Parts: sequence; structure tokens; C-alpha cells
Amino acid sequence: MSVTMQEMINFHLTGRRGVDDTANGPGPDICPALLMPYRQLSELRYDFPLVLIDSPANPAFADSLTGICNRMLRDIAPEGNAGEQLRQHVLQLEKRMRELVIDGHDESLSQLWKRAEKSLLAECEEAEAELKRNSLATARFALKTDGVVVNCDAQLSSRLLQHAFRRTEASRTSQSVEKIESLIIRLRNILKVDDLKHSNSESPQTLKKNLGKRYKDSFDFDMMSELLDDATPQNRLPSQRRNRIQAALATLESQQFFVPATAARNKRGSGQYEFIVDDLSVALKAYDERLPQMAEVIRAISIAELECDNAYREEKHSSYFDLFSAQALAPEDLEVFPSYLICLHESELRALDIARLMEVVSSDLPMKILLQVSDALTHQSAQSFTAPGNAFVVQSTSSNLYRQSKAIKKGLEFNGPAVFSIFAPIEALTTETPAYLVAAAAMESRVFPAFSYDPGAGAGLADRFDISSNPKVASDWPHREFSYEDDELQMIVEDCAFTAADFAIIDEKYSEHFAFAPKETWSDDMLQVSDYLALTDVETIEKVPYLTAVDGDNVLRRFVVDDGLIRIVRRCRERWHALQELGGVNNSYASAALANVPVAEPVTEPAPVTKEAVAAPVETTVEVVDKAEAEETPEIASDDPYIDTPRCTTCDECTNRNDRMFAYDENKQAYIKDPDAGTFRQLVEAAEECQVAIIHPGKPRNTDEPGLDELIKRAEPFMA
Amino acid sequence: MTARATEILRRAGAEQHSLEDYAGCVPRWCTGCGDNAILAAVQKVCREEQLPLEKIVFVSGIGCSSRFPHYMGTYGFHGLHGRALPVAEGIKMRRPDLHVFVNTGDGDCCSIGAAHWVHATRYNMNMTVMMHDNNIYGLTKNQASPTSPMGTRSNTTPRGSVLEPFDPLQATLGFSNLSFVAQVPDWIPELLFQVIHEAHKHRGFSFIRILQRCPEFQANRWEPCMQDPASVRILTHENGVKLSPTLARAYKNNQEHDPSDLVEARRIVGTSEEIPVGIIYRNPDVPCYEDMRKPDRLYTPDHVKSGLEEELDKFTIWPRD
Repeated sequence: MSVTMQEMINFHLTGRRGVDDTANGPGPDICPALLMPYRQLSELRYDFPLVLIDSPANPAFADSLTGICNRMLRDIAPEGNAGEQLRQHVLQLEKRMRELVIDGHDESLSQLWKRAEKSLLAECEEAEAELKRNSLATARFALKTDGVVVNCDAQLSSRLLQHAFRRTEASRTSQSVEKIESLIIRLRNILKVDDLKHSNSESPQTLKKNLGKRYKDSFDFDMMSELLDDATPQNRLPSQRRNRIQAALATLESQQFFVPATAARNKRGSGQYEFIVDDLSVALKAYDERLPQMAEVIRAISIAELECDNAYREEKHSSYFDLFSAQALAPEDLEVFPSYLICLHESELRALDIARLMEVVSSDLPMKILLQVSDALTHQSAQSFTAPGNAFVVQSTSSNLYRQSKAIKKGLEFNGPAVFSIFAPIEALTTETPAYLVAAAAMESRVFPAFSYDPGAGAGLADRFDISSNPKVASDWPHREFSYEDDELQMIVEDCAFTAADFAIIDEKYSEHFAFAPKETWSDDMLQVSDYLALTDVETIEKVPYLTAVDGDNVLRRFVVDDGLIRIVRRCRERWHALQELGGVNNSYASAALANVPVAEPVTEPAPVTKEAVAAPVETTVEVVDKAEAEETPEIASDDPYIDTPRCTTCDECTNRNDRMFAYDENKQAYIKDPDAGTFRQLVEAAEECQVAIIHPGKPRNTDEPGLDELIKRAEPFMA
Repeated sequence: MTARATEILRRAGAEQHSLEDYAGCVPRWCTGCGDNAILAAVQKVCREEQLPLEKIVFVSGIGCSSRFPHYMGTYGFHGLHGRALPVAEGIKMRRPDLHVFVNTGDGDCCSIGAAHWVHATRYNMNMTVMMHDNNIYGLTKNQASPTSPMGTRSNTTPRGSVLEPFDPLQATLGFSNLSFVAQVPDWIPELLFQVIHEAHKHRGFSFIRILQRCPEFQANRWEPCMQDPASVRILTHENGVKLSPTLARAYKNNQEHDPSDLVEARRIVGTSEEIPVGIIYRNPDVPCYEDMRKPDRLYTPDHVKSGLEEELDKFTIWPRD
């Protein structure tokens, strides 16, 4: 073993480089090998930048610039060569817009488009510029989406969540807003009608004013006033009802929870409560303080609804409403009010804040909490917020937010608390690697895996946990092929795993955990981190783990990883295993149960179905049915007349013949009310006339009735 | 959205409606007329659902059947010949909270009002349409209608009608945006109630052809069917009509039919020798026109006023500056 190898083992075990050894830490231009092809982001088409969509008509709250351009080109560019030029020009513009966003331009898509178009055309000669101008004008005409364009930076999670929250809340509370506006109009109308009954409304002066100056000489307003006064109903609203309506109206008009739709359209809405805050205690205090007002609003809505339907009963309802307070609010009442969005930074949380946070996720409060994480390796996993079981939880990196937009929307719509734990690197602390790549690396390396937990998604944890947006969910680490040229310019292809160590090398904070291994020291005792982690403790003796990276000159480098970082990597893997199990992958209970399953017995053929075997139960069934029928059918003496009432078609034939003998029951179907209230002849004739033949005359009750022999004969067909 | 307290108080103070509450004037239909059976079934449906009287509207055109609104103790609109459906659509559009029922006859619906029927089906507004099909113009005293059997002698066809009768079921199963089609005779009360009840519960345009007896002008039309239960084939399904043990004993000619199967529905209606009755087709997923055209904003007085001002301003001649 060479001395240099010993130094590397020393570094690996102690985490300290020797005084005169050759090992150095990674520089700012170092990039994990598998990330190298993605370094120049502006050259790539990917999810970012995002457009935060303003239009409520679009159900999505964000769309990717790439997606917008793709759909637009599908619509406007003909297939094949005919559309190639248009496609090229739009893609050039998309690239320019991406560059401008990376340079820090923060504006709407339409403004960005104009800026990018101007910049692009300025670089072309006149003839080419003309062609591009035409193509881009066509494309701009087809652009249906607008909104602020945002990049994947440290502010993304806050901007995106706030935007999504406003959109979701506007949609969620729109029914309440409409309801309140509609009730206000209806209550005003009730009062207006009552006012019109007031004699002042029919005074000559008021009438003259209402008809306008032009007709002032055409009418006798004194006479008109007299006539109207006589014709107008005098029943005014009782003063108690009027006061009640006015009070409910005043509450609805002055409520500060909902922005009226008209005010929202006119960009008004001042005086409304703020529901986005950056302090949990402020949100909790506001919620508590506003609770009595919420009860007042619900009380006013309920009174207004009853009053508008003329269903308010003073004797029954007033005492109830007198006692109505916040205690009487039901969960469905609270659901109509806006939720709160609290934007927090994990690094700024104090112990008290964490306790409050756990209190909120254990409650049913409508609090949506954005937890912005900037140090992925030391963060507290959002998994802990799933423990109480009633909070919606989303964990994601900023790079994955667009992919998680459905889960985010669901979390914001969820009736109860929701936590969104989002990792977004602080750019100043990272190396030259773009923020998007750092965030993507955090998810890829299992340092900050993405998941969502939906308490309403099912009874089992595997139904509630969704880890599907992570790469290669069944593996410890995602493996990819990495190809490079060796000294002889031959292509080498290696299978590389992307581990937590790959993520750590990007962050300068963890550079001390790496030591550069010059090429001359490379040997078989150096193992890739993933291979090293697969060994037992004994097998790792005399071995060192390394990481493959590429420097700013695209030269392949190896870095030895110290044991401290290896422990962190192991912890990430264990956390990932726990998450896998919750998400239904590699379930340890299922594996144990499967191992204990005895070898299956050969399946025995079912006994052949014989006629005898079938006949027996059928006989029993028939018997049972017959018995049931016998129980259902009431016994009727054949001598008494009766009607098969359920089959009566309400045709009035029999009731018109003798309404004392025949009558309708509560279902408006005929029955024999009194067989002695008429003659046997009437019974027989009614039976003959009944179109559905359901009247059974029975036997004559009066044996002295004339013509009985003939009537009995006529009654025979109806005796069955 | 309704406050929970409102619902509780409404329920606590709600009156229980009996069959009599839904009755209006005394019917003046002929004794033995099938319309009486339809009226009784409809009143029972209203009682079953405890529909508030002030939230029900019956709309009709002209004909015997169209006297229906007079006999219900609810709101009603006895309209023009063939024009029941446009009126009902207008009501539903403006007041989607109302339960809208339409009573129309074979002449009213299949002749003068046929165009409205086609488009009302396509619009699929949530209402229950009962076509009382007695195969004759009864109110005007015996003229052949589109559904009169060939050879019907009437005042307009004294030597017997020469055309094959029009089949309303085959026609309606060919219309676009179809949502609910059923056929039921008026002389099986349990079935009649069940079909009208299901039609009312269905959200969409529920069209029921009711085979109706006319003792005056088509006295023998349905007589054979009434005497022979086997001539009626009852279509049963868990999503359609379900037979009670009593009915199953009397009507043994049953067939399991999935109402969501449009192809099978067309086959049954087009080829069956017996009269198929029950729910023939049902698709609850067809969107309702009133939902699609629901205004995206509340029509507040300010909004209406500003809209009118804007329109009128287009015709204003502004003085020169």
C-alpha cells in the first residue's frame, strides 16, 4: 500500500488532511459527474422558468414556459418543413426569455416576450429580422397565457405558494362571496319595498322628481299621489323584523373576511383582513380574535336566508339566535371562511415556534404553513408533521414544485392544516452550480425526497403517502450511466449512483468532508460511495469511498469522502427507507409475512355440480318464497268484496259510481270503504267497468236484492 | 353554501306535506282517463320528496294533458300549443332552484312542438318531461295525432290514417346530448310512480313517454296490453326499475337492461314486439345547459345599470367639445 493511500485512509477516518499531504478540498467549480451535462441551464429546455397564471379561467395556477411554447407551436406550426422556421424562431425566443430571467428580469410573460423579441431582432440583419418578426407576431397572437415569470430561486417557494394560495382561496370562497352579495341584494330589496309603502314615496314632490322635469306639467301630481296612496298596501314590515333585517344587512355589508366580487374586479378590497402572514403566533392570535366575528357573519347569513325565504319564525328562531356564539359554529360553517398562509423559514424557528407548529398540525385549524428550508442535509423531515395524522403535508424541493402543483393545490384546498416544506438553496452559500440544479440534486440524492401525505386519501398509510415523484423509488439511490473519454480518447461508460455525497460536494459548507485524490493514487481500494455503503464494517477496512466529479475544465476528478459525511449519507438512506415503507415500497411487514407463507397446497378440483345438488336448494328457495308470499298476502274471505288497491290507476270510475262505497286512500288509490253503502249491482258494474279489473265483488250481502242470479253470474270472472 | 343553522331551523320548522297539499282544482278529465293516474303518481312523487310547494312549477302546452298545472296546488304555466318546453327552459334558466315539470301530449310534443323537443333534449336542462301519449287529439274531440296507429278513424282521417305512427322513443334516442329516456304505461301505478320518481331525481332532461288510456276516443287501444301482462316487457336494473314481489308475480315478462347502454336501448326500442317499459337510457354525466351558461358573476343592480349605460352610450350623440 502506498503512503498516499494511507493518507487518504487517514483523511477518511479522521476527516483531517495532513499538514504536507497533497489532498485538497473541492473548488467552487466542482460538479458531481452526473450533473455535469446540465450545467449550462439556459441551453436546456426544462420546467423553469414558471409563469404564475392570473386568469381564474385557467384551472392551473402555474405553467412552465417550455410547456406554453410547446402547446403554442402544436397549435400554430404546421408539421414538417412548413412549420420548421416558425418553430426555430419561437424556440430562439424561448431561450432568450430564459436567459433574461436568469439575468434577473422579473416581469410578466407579455413584457418579457417583448423584451426578448426586441433583443433577438436587434442581433439580426434586416431580411432575417423581418422573417423573425412575422413568425413571432403569429406566435404572440396565439399566446393565451400571461402572468409573472419566476425562476427557480430562493424566493420561488414563497412567491408560488402565495400566488397559489390567493388563487385557491378566491375560488374556494367565491361561493361565500356570491352568497353574501346575493343576500345583501335581497335584504335591501325587502327594505326597499317596505320603504316604497311609506307615504313619502308617493308624495307629490317625490312623484314629480321621479318622473322628471319634462313631464312636470303633464300630470296632476297631487291627484296621482292621492290615487297611489289609496292603492298601496298598508301592511308595513313589523318594526322587529325590520330591525332584524337591518342588523343582518349591516353585518354582511361590514364583514371583513370576504372581498366582494365587484370590489375584487375593481382592484379594491381595502379594509379586508390579511390572511398571509410570516408569524405563526400572529396568525393564531388573529384567528382567535376573529372567531366571534365569524359567528356574527354566520348568524347574519342564517337570519338573512330565513328572512329571504320568509321562513323566519320569531317564536322559534329568535331565542336560538340570541344564544348563537362562536361555540355554535360547526366545522362546515368554519370551512367557508378563508384560510391563513404562514410563511416561515426553518432556520429562524425557535423552540416555541416549533411547539406551536406541532400544535397547529394536531388541530383542525385552517392554517397553511410554508416552511422554507435552506439547509437540506440538516433539516427536520416534514415526515414528523404527518404523525398526528390530520394535516396535509407536502415535502418538495423548489426544482420539483411545478411537478408537485397538483399536491400543492390539494393541500391548499384541504379543510384543515397543511404544511409545505420546501427546500430552496440560498444562492450565496452555494458554488457556481445554479440553484435549480442544487435543488434537483437534493431530491435526486434522497437528501430531500419529495412526498405528499393526504389524510383523506385512504385508510392505509400507503394510500396517503405518495412518493412517486422521486426518481427510481424502489432503489436506494438512482443509478445513471456516466460516459467520459480516457487518456487514450476512448469512451468509458460507468454506472454511477447519485448519493447524498454528490449533493454535499456542491455545497461549500461540506467541502471539508472531501479530499482530492490525484490520478496516480487511484486504486482498487477506492470504491464509489454507493459500493462502499454496501459493504460490511469488516469489508471496509483498508478501503476508502470516493466520489467522481468534474472540474471547470471538464476534467474528471475523484474526491475521497470522510467518515463523518458517510454517516450523514447513511442517515439519508435510512430516512429514505422509512419513507419508502410508508409509501408502500419494500414494506418490512409485508416482506416478513411473505417469508412466512407456507408453500401453497395443490388446488383441489371443486366437486362436480350434480342435478341433485342444485335441486335441493331450489326447492328450499321456492318453499321460502311461497311461505313469504303467504305471509305477505292478507287473508280475505272470498265472500267479502275487495279491491286490489296497489294496482288502482285512480281513474275515478268507481268513486264516481258510488263515493260512499268506493273511496281513495292516502295514496289516492281506491278501496272499498263501506260494502253496505251500495248495492251488489253497483259492485258488479264497477268491476266490469274497471279498466284494470281489480274490483272483486264477492258475494251479495243483501239476499233480497232483485236480479241476483244474473249478477252472481256476471261477478264470476272477477272472483279469482 | 347555506349556513348549518339555517338548515337545522328550516328542518325543525318544516311542515309535512300530504297528498292533498299538492292537489289543485278538481280534475275535469273524463272518467277512466289515464291522466288521473299520472296526476296521482306525480302528487305522490312530490309528497315522497316533500318538495316545497312554492318551489314547483308545472308547465304545459295545449291538450288534455296540458290541463295538468290546474290540478296541482303549485305554480304552473298553461302555455301555447307545442311551446311548453321553451317556457320551461326559460323558467329553469332564470330560476334553477325550482323543480320544473312539463306535461305535454303526443300532438303537443311530437307535432307542433317537435322542434322544441329536439333542442330541449340537446340543451339537457334539469326538468322532468311527461309526454302523455294517448295516440289522439282528445281535447279537440278526436283527430289523428302523429302517434295514432295506422288505420285510426278520426275526424281528420275518416277512412283511417294512412301513415305509420311516429315512434317518440326511437326519435328521442337519436337526439344529441341525450340524458334520460323512459317509457311507462299509466295502468301500472307502482311502475308509473317509480319511473317519474327516478326521472325527477335524475339531474338533466328526463323524458318519459307515458302510454295513456283515452276511454273516449281510443277506448280499445291499450285494452289487450292491460288484459295480458306478458305484452309488457319490464326492463329492470339496479340503476333502473326494480320490481316489488307483488309486481313481479303479476308481470313475469322481465328483462335485465343496463340503462347506460345506448346501443342496447336503441335495439330494444327498435325491435321489441312487446312494449318495453322502464328506464331505457340514463346518462347522469351529460352537462346541463343551465350550469354551462351560469353567469360568472352576480347580477347586482350596479352591474345591470353599468351594462345598460354601456349599451345605451353606444347610441348617444355626444356634443362636440
